[in-house]
Amino acid sequence: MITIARVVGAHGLKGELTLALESDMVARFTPPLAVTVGSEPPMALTITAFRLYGRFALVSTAQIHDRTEAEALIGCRLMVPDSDRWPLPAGRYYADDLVGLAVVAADGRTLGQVRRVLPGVANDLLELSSGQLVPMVRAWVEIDLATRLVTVLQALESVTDHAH
Amino acid sequence: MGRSTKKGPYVPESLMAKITLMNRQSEKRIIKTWARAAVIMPEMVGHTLAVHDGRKHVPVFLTEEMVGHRLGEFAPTRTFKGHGAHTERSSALK
Repeated sequence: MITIARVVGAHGLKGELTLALESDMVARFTPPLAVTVGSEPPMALTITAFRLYGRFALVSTAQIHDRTEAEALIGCRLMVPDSDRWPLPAGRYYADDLVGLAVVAADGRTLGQVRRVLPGVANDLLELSSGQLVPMVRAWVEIDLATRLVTVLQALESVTDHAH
Repeated sequence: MGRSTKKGPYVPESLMAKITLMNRQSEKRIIKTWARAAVIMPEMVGHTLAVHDGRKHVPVFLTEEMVGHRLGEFAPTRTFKGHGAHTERSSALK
């Protein structure tokens, strides 16, 4: 299951939930949307209304009608099956798809594997199993999910210190 | 008060010298720098600078849109660790 949002609060008296979104695609929340709440026990919810509210979102559901029920879900995750993951436009990648890919240099040398993807301001970064960071820009890497290979196009080793 | 225009933008001379040398030799190498306050100049576009964030050097590929900003703006000093879940967040190859 993939987490698409977290419940961070209750809104109003009619059971609206305040969500922190964990998906880049706001359009995927277009109602009606069936989700599973990662509560104990898991619970099925159908989102019937969705609107953005600052950096959060407010949703109404078919199952929750008062604030007390909504407050009981604070801290829970809203999840959908892996098969419901939205396809991404060209040039965008899910971090989970990149983790574990083999990394090679342009000359064919093995550099390791992608350990994780770090968010950056200008560009995201691929952290390799060696601890090296590689900028996720076209001038630096070629990503081929079909062959599960990341090719680093520039030399990582040639680092010049600039101390002043 | 802002910096005097007579002085021009702040860039450490040693950093600019390395960039100029690499441009002259048509070379592309990462330069590690601690100069977070250095202003990004047009000559730096296309190079990758590893900017210190207080703990490690963060490689930043410099593009035209970054000219006039400071290096530190692209290497945040606080790291968001995430919530550890299998989410639908994605990364763009820029």
